[in-house]
Amino acid sequence: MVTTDTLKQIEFMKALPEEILERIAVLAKEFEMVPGVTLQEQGVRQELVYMLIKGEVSLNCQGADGKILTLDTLKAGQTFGVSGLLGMEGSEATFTAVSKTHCTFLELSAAEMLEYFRSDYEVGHVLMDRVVDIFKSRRKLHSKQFLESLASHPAIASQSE
Amino acid sequence: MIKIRDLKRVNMLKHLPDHLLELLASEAQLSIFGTHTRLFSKGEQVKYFYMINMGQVALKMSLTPDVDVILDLFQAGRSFGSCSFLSDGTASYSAECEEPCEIITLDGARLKELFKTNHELAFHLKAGVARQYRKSLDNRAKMIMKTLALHPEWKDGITDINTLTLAY
Repeated sequence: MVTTDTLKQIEFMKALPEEILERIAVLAKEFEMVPGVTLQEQGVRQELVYMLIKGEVSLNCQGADGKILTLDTLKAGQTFGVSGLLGMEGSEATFTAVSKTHCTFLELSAAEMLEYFRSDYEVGHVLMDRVVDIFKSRRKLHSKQFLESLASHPAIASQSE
Repeated sequence: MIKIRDLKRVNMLKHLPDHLLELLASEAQLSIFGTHTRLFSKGEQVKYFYMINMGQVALKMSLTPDVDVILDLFQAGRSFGSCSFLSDGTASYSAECEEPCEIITLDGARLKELFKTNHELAFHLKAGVARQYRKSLDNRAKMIMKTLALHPEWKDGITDINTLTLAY
């Protein structure tokens, strides 16, 4: 059985109140994975939320030219698949996740979690706050990088000199 | 007076059940804004959640004192200012009407008050915001991948792609 102490190792979960962690722990399953296993395929609906306890996972993306690019490497404490919690049409993954090393995960079924949120919206909105925070900070960072790149464009840079 | 059919036209609210739309309709206001009205500026506390009924709003950021960048142009059905009901209410961009606009507004502070007792409303609105963020991150990821497919030589010069793209 998954304990709340294990859940607290996960960034996405660690700030949640103990009573909420206790309820989520009941739904979580722990498992191990050898290197080279595909956990999520690009273009396939995200049905599981994965929380990495140990090891590394590569997030790859196949471009229009068919070439595969590694966009990120996740380490212990990180989560992927939270988009599955949004219950949206078109929630297909934009990445393929592959275990890079021997990994230990916690896994949550997005459908079970959504059902749980609908029976207890208090937990649902607290967790949704965390999902919003994750996406918001990534979008903010992205906008910042975009503007910095644009500001360094010769046509703009020469104008501000 | 706002009707729930007006709110059903707002993309972000389309997953909300009718009883929550009724509640929001009773709290919402309809406002008319003239061309070039600045609804809020970057760095300010955003007071309202805005849902466009008619017209066009530009979301902008200043690049230099002389150059503004338009990040997005929003039309009927789109919404913005969700930070008014989230924990950090500071605007990360400015919003300005590009033409005369009819906009439905909800007071962010009032929504936060409602969230304390109505967790179902809090859940659905926050899930709506998360879906919007996810969509915009996906669009950006697609654009970057498309650009890299057209210019594969650019890949070598990119060192921060891991922070640029995925919504996972």
